[in-house]
Amino acid sequence: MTGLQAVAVRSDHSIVAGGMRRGKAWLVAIDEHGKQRWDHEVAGVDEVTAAMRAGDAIVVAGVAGRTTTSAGTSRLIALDAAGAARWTAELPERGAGELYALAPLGDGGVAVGQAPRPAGGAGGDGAWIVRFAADGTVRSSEVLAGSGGDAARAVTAIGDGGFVVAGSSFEAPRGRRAVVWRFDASGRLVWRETYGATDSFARGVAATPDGGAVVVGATQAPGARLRAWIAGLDRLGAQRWTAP
Amino acid sequence: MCGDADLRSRLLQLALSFVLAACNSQPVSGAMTPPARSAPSAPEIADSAEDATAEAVVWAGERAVVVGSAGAIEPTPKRANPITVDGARYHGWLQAVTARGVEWARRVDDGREFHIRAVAPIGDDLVIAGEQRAGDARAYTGWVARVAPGGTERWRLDRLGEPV
Repeated sequence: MTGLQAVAVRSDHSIVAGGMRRGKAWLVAIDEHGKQRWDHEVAGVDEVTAAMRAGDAIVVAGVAGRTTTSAGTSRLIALDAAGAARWTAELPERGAGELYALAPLGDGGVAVGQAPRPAGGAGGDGAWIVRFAADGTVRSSEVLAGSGGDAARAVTAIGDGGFVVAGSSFEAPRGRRAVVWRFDASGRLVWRETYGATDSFARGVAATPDGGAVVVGATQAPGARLRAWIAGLDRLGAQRWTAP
Repeated sequence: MCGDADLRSRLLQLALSFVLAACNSQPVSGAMTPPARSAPSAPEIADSAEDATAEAVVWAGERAVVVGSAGAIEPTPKRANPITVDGARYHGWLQAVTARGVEWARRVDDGREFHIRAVAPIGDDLVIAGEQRAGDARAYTGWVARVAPGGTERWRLDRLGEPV
């Protein structure tokens, strides 16, 4: 399988896209006019899942060791302009966990994904939130409590230093529903809300200038086709509008 | 006399409205980025018989720009080898939305399968990326494109990662 599923833009408007090329993690660098600069495989991961700008570097997240029955492990890798690694962080410390999205924070960033809950927690996977410093030091790594099968798929920084995470959760008896988590600048969970009809999920989130967010994904009524879902939320998570 | 004056007034208003409409339709220039073709009309992002998923979103100016894919699995083409060929047909889409509704939308439909997976801002433009089917076989390649405000492509690199 070959394809690109992550893209980030440097301050000079050059572009780095990441994904997989014939089963190996792959990065492509392109200038702002569309001329390819370089492409190469990424050691230590099988697939690049996310990318973000961090100062003059690009940080990518990747997953390795995934099988049809078990989750893989993850790495964060900071790359210079030539694509060489400045630092690498291997996650999680123990067990499995897959990172799917990244967002820059003031002095580092946040990565989100899905990981098994620690022994003693409620069953199933949970949304996994990793905050890291600009040098790759992991500041916190937490699998959130939830109703089971939670996954974080997207994250965006917001103006007050906090961040908003979007994904999905399985909630009996309604099934999969889109979920949004709002965190403050210290990483404390402020609120968690669910959205959409039965079988809904969120894949993307963007902060709005008024402190709210736009969340996107899909929703599917029983027996119907999957429909794209777009919702505007205020700063407290109330759904203000949907489109189209 | 009153009737003539009223008619002249209405004709003047009508002429003025045409002039204002013409002024408002003039393109704004002066951008330092490459020129782009005029914005397309706003098509539906998916037909009623297709599945559609929004994959990512960025805030750009005063609107959210959402990207995603839509399509369906159709029967395998006649005389095709079902081991290597299927009837999947998907297109990518972009849609600019606000609380007031859809500002513009664009479909990217260049092959049997075309998926948009990621988006990021690049100045006032956007860069998007994904994968596409390389012909009938179940082989995929990557692609990256730069999109102007309004949804028109400035450039696209196709068939990235294709075996040489």
